[in-house]
Amino acid sequence: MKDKDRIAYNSFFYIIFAPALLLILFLTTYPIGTIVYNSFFSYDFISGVREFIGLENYSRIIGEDLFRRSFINTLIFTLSASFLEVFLGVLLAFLLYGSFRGKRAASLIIIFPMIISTMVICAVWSTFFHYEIGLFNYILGQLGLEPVGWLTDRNVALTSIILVDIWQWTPFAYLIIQAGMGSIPGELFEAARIDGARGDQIAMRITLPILSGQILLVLMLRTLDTFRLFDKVYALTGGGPANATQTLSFFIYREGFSFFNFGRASAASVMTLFFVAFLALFYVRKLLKEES
Amino acid sequence: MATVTLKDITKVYDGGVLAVDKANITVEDQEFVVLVGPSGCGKSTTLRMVAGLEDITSGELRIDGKLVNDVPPKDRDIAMVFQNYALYPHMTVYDNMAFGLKIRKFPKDQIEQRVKEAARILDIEELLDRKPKALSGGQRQRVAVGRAIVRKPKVFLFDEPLSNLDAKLRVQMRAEISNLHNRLQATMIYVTHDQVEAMTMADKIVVMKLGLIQQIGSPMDLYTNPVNKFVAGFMGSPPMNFLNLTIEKEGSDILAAEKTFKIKLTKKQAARLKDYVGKDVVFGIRPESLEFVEEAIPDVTINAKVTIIEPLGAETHIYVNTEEHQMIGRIEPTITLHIDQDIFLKPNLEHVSFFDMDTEEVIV
Repeated sequence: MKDKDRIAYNSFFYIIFAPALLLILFLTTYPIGTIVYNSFFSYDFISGVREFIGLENYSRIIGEDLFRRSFINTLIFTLSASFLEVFLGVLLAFLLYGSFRGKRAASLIIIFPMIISTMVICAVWSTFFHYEIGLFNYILGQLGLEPVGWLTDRNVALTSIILVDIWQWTPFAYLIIQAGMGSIPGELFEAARIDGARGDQIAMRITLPILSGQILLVLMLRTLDTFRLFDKVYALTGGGPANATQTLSFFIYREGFSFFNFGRASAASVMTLFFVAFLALFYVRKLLKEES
Repeated sequence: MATVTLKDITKVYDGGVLAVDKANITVEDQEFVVLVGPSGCGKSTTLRMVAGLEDITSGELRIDGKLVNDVPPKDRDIAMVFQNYALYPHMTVYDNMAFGLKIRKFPKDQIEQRVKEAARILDIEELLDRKPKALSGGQRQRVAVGRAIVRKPKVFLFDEPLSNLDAKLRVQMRAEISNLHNRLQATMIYVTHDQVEAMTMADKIVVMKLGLIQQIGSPMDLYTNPVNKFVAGFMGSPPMNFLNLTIEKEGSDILAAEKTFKIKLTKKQAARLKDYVGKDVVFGIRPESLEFVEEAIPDVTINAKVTIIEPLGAETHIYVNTEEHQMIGRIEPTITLHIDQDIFLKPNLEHVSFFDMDTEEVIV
């Protein structure tokens, strides 16, 4: 193809893609731009008073205990939930590898939590967690143990939310990992057996390294998702007790929609966005490296 | 090196499918044995039982005289080359070849020496740092063979190793594996559905069909003395021609007859076929045993009409129709024929077989 033809050929595609591209660009940049813009103002939504204050929102928020608490909680939640989900997903995939009677049924049961609405899940779990009539404390009682304030004890509440998230999203990790495992040709395991590898050696030196791409992918998706934790906090604890389950998203929600402090909510959003983008970049680079 | 003995080896899969029925095979030390047959004949299952990848339902499997039915694959001292290479995708060529030795805790310098030696034999020294993804099919198969060589196993097992390669590469790798066998003086068992591979590589061929061994013998033995119609038809390309002929008696002569020709049989054939007078038998003749002659000779030649001519350069294949059958002949390229020409073919009766119509077993 001549250069001139190629330009004509390419420009045709640019032209037909342009409207969609512009729309997507607008839909992503406009809200982000607005948030960044608002974060430099003291902006009370109810009175409509808007006053430029520079970086004051940022400096104030960073200095606040509640924001720091939220950030640390989010980090704890993200790290423990996403790693445990992936770990358990891998474990399940290994346990259920191969074909056996009832595998379809088992898989269906396993993915069930993933398809239920989070609000329904939280409603069910909050009855399990109930201090007096909950299932867990009943079991503890039967075992002769002290009851636990699953959602009311500040040292336990975050763990409880992590537990619910693991219950809900381990199936997702399992699904992706088992799909990856299913695509490894059986001959590979046979070759390894003949090469002299035991089951654990095959798992550690053949299966897991081959699955590293999928594992990284699930880890990324779960990290990005858990970092935005909001719904379970909203439904189970409302951020309490004593802010023990405050997360960044919940902090933003309260600033914006309880106190109508849009400037502060925007500044917190921008910082959260920055963390998430950083995490995403980290994983995407790893994934791309894996691919090459 | 080692012998491998299969005694009444049987495999029944869950659900009752009989895959291999009482297989008896003896693989001598340093022998190259090829298991050949159409898909579903049980050849791969047999090999996988030798490897230890399939349980043996009944029978005895011995490697070097030792019963290994319940010995896991890793302790059988065998190496296997798979159809789809089965290279570990996340490892370099070097690591792929070294994996078995690392698992067996060989010292590092010995691993390196063995891998480099194998790479040199297979001419893949340049590829040691690459990953399988960056290799061509032929190179991958070399690596798979290399992975087997480095282990210096008692027995090499090959499961259709060439079927994913293109025709030209297949011919080349065929020769290389044969060379390797000569060089390593190893016991090898090789599974293929390609009778050409079997003929060209094997010391001994085992022909299987529907889980049953049909015949075991040297390539030429199988080619010239097939025990039944299946083996006769499976070995050789183009395949043997089969004609249903009626055995007739005229005076003291025994003849095999179609509508428009009769063939007077040799004394030996006549003696074996005299009980078949009045009955039909299957007359098997290889394309190269048909000689083109200028004129009809009564009770000797087959008259036929040419339908297709395939000149291959060194020889010409002709497809002809008799009154009731189709045949393929292999003739000198210097003979000029044209389509629809009526011709006469003289069968070389020293190289024909007769099979029973019902049992398909050879009569003579």
